[in-house]
Amino acid sequence: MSPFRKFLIHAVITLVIVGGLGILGAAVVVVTGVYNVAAIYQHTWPVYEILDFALDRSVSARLGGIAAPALDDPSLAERGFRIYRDKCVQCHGAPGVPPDDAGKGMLPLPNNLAQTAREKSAEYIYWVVANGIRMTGMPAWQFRLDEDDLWAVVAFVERLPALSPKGYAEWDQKIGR
Amino acid sequence: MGGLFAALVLLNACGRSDVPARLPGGDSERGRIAFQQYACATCHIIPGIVGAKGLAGPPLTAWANRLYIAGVLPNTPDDLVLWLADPPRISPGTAMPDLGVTERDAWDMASYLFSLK
Repeated sequence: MSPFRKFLIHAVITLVIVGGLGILGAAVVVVTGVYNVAAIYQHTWPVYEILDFALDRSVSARLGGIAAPALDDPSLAERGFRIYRDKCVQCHGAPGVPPDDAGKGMLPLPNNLAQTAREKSAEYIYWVVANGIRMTGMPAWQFRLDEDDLWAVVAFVERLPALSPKGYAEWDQKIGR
Repeated sequence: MGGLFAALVLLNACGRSDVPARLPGGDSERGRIAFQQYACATCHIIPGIVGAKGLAGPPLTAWANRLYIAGVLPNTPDDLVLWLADPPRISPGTAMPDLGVTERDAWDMASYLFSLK
């Protein structure tokens, strides 16, 4: 037997053993229930960071073909505000407005969308609103809101970073229910 | 060596005498969980809480050494509990809403924050 062939056989056997031990270890973690799924305990740091990074990469990889329409029309933002007040503020809160109890009790916590608007593109926010994010509590809205409404929500979210608590309260007063 | 140790202990005792390491009646581990459960982690960077990377409010790092709460109250445990109970009452117009923190939870949260040096 050539030395290379011998090396290859050893390498394959090692990989099978290591892979088998990995699967066995994962099975032990799952079956014993040692990993806590309670919403009062965050993931361990490495698990959280990997999931958070994977989430961001997953959304970013799916934005091809989405192009935001013009979002600066004030009437579009007003339409978005109505929807935001109806369906978003319960979990995400707003400037000076806390989330409701359900939003506070969630893990992961729903993002502060003023920060999201600063950090992400309109297309990114649209994708998340339309498709939701599995196992985070973020619902998909595309079967509840039509295309124009989805973009209206994005148009309002884009304005959040410039809204003070007083400014948000004024929108709330100005735009009737 | 022993003298240096004694000096350090003394120095530490003097420097920190006004900051309790653990507040009486406050459970800092429970307070740490409360920081998730009142959505504080959404808006603040909080040491020791995984995923608490919010930039809406100030980072709560080195809390025990901070002088003021929200720039308006001296940073004492009592005033922190007062602030947590209803921020807009203390500082009208603040973006930090009243999150409905109970007094017991506020003491636990204060206990956690004052453990951050």
